[in-house]
Amino acid sequence: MLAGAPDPDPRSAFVARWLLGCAVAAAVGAGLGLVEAARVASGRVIEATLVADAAAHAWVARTDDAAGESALAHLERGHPGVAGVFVVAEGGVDEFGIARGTALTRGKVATADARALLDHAKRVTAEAARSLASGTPMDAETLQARLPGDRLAVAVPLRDAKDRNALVGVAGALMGPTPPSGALPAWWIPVVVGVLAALAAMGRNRWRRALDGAVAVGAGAIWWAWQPALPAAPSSGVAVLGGAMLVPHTAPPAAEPLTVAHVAVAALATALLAGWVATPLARVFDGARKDLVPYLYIGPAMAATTLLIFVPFAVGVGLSFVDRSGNFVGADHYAEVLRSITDANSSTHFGRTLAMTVLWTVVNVTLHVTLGLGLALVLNRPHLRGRALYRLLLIVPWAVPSYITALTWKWLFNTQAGPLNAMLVALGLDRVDWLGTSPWTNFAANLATNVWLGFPFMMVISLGALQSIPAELYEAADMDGGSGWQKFRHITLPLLRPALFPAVILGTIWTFNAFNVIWLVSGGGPDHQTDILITEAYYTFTVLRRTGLAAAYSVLIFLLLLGYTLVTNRLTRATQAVGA
Amino acid sequence: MRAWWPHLLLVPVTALTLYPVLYVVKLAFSGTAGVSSSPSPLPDRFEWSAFGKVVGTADAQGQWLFGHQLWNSLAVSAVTTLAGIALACTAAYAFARFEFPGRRAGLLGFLATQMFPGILTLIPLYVLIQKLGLLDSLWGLVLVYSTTTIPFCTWTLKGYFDTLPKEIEESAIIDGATRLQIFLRIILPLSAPAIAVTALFSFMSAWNEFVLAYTFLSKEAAYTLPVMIRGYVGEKDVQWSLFAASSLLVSVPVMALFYAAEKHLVGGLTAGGVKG
Repeated sequence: MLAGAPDPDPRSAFVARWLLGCAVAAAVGAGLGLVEAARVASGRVIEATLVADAAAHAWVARTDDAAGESALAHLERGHPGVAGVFVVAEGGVDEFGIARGTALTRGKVATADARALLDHAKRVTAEAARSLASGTPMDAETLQARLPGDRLAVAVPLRDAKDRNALVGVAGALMGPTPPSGALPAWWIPVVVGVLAALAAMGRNRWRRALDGAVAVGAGAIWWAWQPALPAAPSSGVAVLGGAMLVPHTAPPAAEPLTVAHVAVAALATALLAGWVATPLARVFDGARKDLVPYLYIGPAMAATTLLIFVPFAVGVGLSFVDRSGNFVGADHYAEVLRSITDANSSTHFGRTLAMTVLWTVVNVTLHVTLGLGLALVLNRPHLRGRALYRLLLIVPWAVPSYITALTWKWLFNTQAGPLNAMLVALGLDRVDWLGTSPWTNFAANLATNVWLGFPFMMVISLGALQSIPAELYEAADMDGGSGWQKFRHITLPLLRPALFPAVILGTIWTFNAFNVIWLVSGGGPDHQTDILITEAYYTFTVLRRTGLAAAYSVLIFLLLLGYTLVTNRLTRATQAVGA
Repeated sequence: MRAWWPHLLLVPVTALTLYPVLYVVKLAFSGTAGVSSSPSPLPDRFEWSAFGKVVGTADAQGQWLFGHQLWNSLAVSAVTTLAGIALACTAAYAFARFEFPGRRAGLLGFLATQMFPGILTLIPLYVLIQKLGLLDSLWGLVLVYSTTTIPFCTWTLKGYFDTLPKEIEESAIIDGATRLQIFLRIILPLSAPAIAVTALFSFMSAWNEFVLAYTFLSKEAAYTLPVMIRGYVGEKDVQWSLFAASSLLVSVPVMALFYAAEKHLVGGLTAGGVKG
């Protein structure tokens, strides 16, 4: 942090590095473990589905029951991870005219499981009937059933060869408990990489830690390369049978395999974190050992904000890398958002919305400042009668809750009953469909609302700053024969700037995120053309239900705001330095 | 040498500013029968039926909805304010008076939270609140509101504590006071006005919050007042006079608070900005 700060006490430094090391090991271990578990689970589902498809194929193609039986036995032998292959046939009527009902007819399945498999077959058949009736493919999820003892059954429904809307049963595969995967047990990777990362975090200086971090990355990459490959997902659930006899269903989702690149990025990030966080953390421990009191004072507030702001923020950032079924998708969501700049058919419109947001912010803030400053200059005239009353009335818009303002203006712009159109009609003009199909009238409505809402703040700030300018300066200028404009240019403006600059920055951030106005007045319409970034992100989350995409979108908004603040902070400091 | 032309400018601008507000007042008093669409903002009649209808709303089970929602808003705002201020006061005091490692990082971290887009934290919070089973409960809102106001309140209060002269505390230490005594007996009473203003701000932002409440609450009896008002302006069924009447009921108290605290509010807002 500070260049000249003393090195922390070695004991504090050790404790800090040790704690960080444990945290890094736990995070790396848990993260890699979760991803690996997801990969293995998805591989299992895919293998079971492939075997179920093959079993259905064998059963449909059989010449007699004995041939079918031997084909199923052959399948079982070929897949050691599969505990059993089964076919559940709908009974029809036997030669005595008695309904046979549903029966588990083939396969090496223990009788204890027969009940569960029959129940599952019933559910799948019911779902399949529904999907045949509606003409939509079945969800791959509905084909799966979890059985006690960490076992998994996947069943695919079969159609009748003659009446293709009738169902004759299901064929499926029963997977045994998850086996330890391949050459090395799955938990080795997380543990080894975690321990290496922990060691890396405990290095003596930051360069050493970064170097050790890189070694941990390399180790992770090598372990990873040794992992056995898992079966690839079929592009469609009915690929094996060509779709003729199976009820169409979606392919089971494949977990994106964790690639070396992912491990590298994650471990490098943790190594860097460990490298640059250890010393400041050690200073905090040092401080706490010398004097615990300040930490007791900020502790509760820190704990609350960490739990409910920082952690959700981090989780939100994490969610942007994960799809709806919890699979790691890397930067796909970011790519999708950025692709939407050029692709008109995508579900978001980042480029267009960003342009709209910038236009919206610039026009609004310009009008706020012009109006606010102009009114403040008039109000600040000496001997103005009724100044307090004017001020009181002009800040009314600031006092009104913003959602009420927005809804009120929505009413003012109402096409049929709104007073604005009534005014136009009284003047002999046509009604305007303000919130209708034109993006520009919608924008105008939003703009009018937000200008009304925002100018009092700038006015009050300007007025306060104007009143703090000593009158002697103007008197001196008068003596030197300065004109009104010269006084404004050389006295008023320079002295206003320190107060106005932060207000403009604050106002820009508020306008940039003016959710209530856009959401409640135009609703982003027509067709999202007046959406700003924050409303489109909210729409993506609440209406489209694309959590990951919405999270990626929000991260981009945050980065834009952060960049803006950093740049303006520099500028403010520069102007303050000049002014001082 | 009183100039008259400023009034030529100020009167129309003030009239334009007040127009929407006056129109809401007119709508609110126009009764439930139907609203006139004349552009004049002056009330053409004084009927209280819209207010009566808003206040008297009951749901299918005969629960008094307005009462429930008023209580919800009051309770959420009050608890939010108390919890937020209690935590912010101690943190602000530490930031203002102690020099300790991590102070700068903490202050900057609090500042950074103001830039987090609400939607990004909304997503995990929604899942968290759902997991805790607090989706239609007031505690979910209290939890979220109070933590989101802490950083702002901390910055504002720190700005005030910075202006208190250190000599008072130094002489108290000589007299044998502990630091906790100084904080409770000297600093807190001295900054009562600043704390009151910050509390008012916190109360108002909870009272006026719309998006989170709209996202978290789905049962009418659990609504806060802003969500209730939004309900009168639905997609299909728009009841403008009820909207106007409920808006007046909800915003008049909060506007009174605003005017009471306004002078100090401006100072607090800009003090944080200039020093940040």
